Amino acid sequence: MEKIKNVTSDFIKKHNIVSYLFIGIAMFFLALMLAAQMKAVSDTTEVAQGKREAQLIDDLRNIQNKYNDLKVKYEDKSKIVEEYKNNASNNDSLIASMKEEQKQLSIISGVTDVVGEGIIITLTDGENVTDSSLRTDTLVHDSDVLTVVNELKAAGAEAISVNDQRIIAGSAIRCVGPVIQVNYQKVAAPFVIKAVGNAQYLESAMNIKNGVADLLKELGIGVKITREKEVKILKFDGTINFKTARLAE
Amino acid sequence: MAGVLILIGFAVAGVLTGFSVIIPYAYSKYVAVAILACLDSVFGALAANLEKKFKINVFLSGFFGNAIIAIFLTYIGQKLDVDIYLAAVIVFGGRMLNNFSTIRRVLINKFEKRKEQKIVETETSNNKI
Repeated sequence: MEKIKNVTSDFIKKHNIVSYLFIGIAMFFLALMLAAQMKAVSDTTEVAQGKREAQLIDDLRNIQNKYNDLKVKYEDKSKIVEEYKNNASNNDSLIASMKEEQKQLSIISGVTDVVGEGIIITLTDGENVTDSSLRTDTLVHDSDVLTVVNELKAAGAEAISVNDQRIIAGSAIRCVGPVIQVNYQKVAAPFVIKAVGNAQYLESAMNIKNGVADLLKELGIGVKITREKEVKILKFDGTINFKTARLAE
Repeated sequence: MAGVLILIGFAVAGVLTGFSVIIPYAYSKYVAVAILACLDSVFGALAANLEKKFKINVFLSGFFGNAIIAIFLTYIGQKLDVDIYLAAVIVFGGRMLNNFSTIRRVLINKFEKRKEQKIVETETSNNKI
């Protein structure tokens, strides 16, 4: 034992192992910083200038990460809710009626996917400015989408979506620069507006003479209306918060 | 030999851990200056080693101290809106070049001495004949 100890301590002394160890630790930190920094610089493909932009990039990254985390959490929780719904006993008539009501309410509020007959309207930016147009461009504006959605509602559509953004009671359609915003999500042309409802009513409401379709075509916008046996409309995937409103007693 | 192996082992471990470390873009300026300071220390150590003046405590204190001071200067510069980090870049860059020239001169001197020795050896052997 003593011999081995002596040999190792001799080895350590002779080769100056201790000092190499210290230098090694320093090299470890240097290599770590170098690698991490190179990765960070190559990750940011667009070299942002100024600290404000750098700050914004970090903020955006954080928010995106947070959003993804929350979305995963939300999906987990909604799965649990789904389970509770399915597990509820069917025997009890009260529960059955509540379930029925819940189904109805979730269709109204837009928190569930729905299918049914309906129509799909596609609005595309036009190419040539027509003489009779009041506008100087042939782009689809937020007001055009809004008009179509409003007309669909008037014709008895039971569920509507614009580019898979479900139109619910609180949905806003508005202009944000080159794109439009629906449910605070950016959507761009071509706009695919899906509506579930009596397809015949809906189509004729669109195609009525001097109606919405005619108006939009006159503005130079491409309008395509198709009737479908089975239209699927996705659920509203945001959150609905009531901060001020409460039930009146 | 064993020492070089240890150094390489630590460096590889550092690179591997570095790839899984994420530096926020806002802090990359600080890290860059710290890297410069550390590189300067390493080349300084190399030069001192060749001149046989290397001291471990000087190296370690310089390695971490310079990095911390450089980061601190950069931070103050950002607060005052003056690019003080440029001072760190210039000083450390200049010192790195100085160290390189020291290393070069020492190596060339060694090489020339060896050559002279060889010449002397051959001359003496020729004289013997």
